[in-house]
Amino acid sequence: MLAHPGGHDMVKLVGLLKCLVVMIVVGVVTAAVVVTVSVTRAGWLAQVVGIAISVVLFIIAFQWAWRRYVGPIAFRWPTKKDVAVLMPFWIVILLALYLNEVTPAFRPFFSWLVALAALVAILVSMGRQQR
Amino acid sequence: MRYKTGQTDKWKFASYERDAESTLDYAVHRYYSYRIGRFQTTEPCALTSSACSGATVSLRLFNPAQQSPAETNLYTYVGNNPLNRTDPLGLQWWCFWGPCDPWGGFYGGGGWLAQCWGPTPNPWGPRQACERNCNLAYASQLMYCTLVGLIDPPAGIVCVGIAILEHQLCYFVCSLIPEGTTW
Repeated sequence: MLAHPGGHDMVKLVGLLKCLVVMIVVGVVTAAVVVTVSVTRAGWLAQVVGIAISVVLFIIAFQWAWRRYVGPIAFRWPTKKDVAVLMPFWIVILLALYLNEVTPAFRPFFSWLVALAALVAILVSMGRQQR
Repeated sequence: MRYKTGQTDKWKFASYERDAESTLDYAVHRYYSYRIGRFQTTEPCALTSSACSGATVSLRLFNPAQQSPAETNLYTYVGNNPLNRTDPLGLQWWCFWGPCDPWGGFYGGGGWLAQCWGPTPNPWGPRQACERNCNLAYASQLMYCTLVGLIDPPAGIVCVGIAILEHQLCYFVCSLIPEGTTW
């Protein structure tokens, strides 16, 4: 579990902002990767690799920036129970991804619906931890 | 397909039924004049959603991304692109393999910065591929964020916020690719 270092709230806020700045820079890089594999009409493997690079970059950068500027973050591999808890939400996210492709009317809601699914997943896991 | 009343050529292209007297092809929802190569009436789904199911409702007339006059002309057959599209019911043209691009998706997307909604007949191009890749990356990032949230809820919530921002940024970069660009 995360043990936030003690200190002033302002320090934490500045840390969060620094984390955000790092992630925006990473966002530019990952977007550049995504656009490059798109405009060059790369094959499916290159597309998958490009997306994987952008996702892995996001994960590494987030872990690093959070540890560096906000506080320690424990990493552990997900257990079967974790996966069982998150599976319904992951299914919602993947279903939304599919609906976004095949149902034009759904498209304006895609980004917010999947974000909502992720937030609900986190809130549910918080509730489970408190019980 | 043969017709059994002596008219061997009654069934025409796209399974339209030809009426020799009126010189029109019956396309279920409207008639097609093979002499002038146009439908007699407009595309039923183009102006209203009432005639169509939710998934196939065509609001494409209101789409700012419309490029070709042939595609906004509601009397043409499949927007003058019969090689890639079909319209057996005279209802709304559709691509042969369902969705209109080789990846099985449609053009378009949501997002604050590159808002562009509605179904589009546009061919699959780099912009569409770009938005597709943004969405795939976004979904993967959110799945990761839920895992982070399991370990550390505040970090997970911040992670979701950052993923949303990055998705919007990604869409914005994709929007720099001009509409209708092809490879």
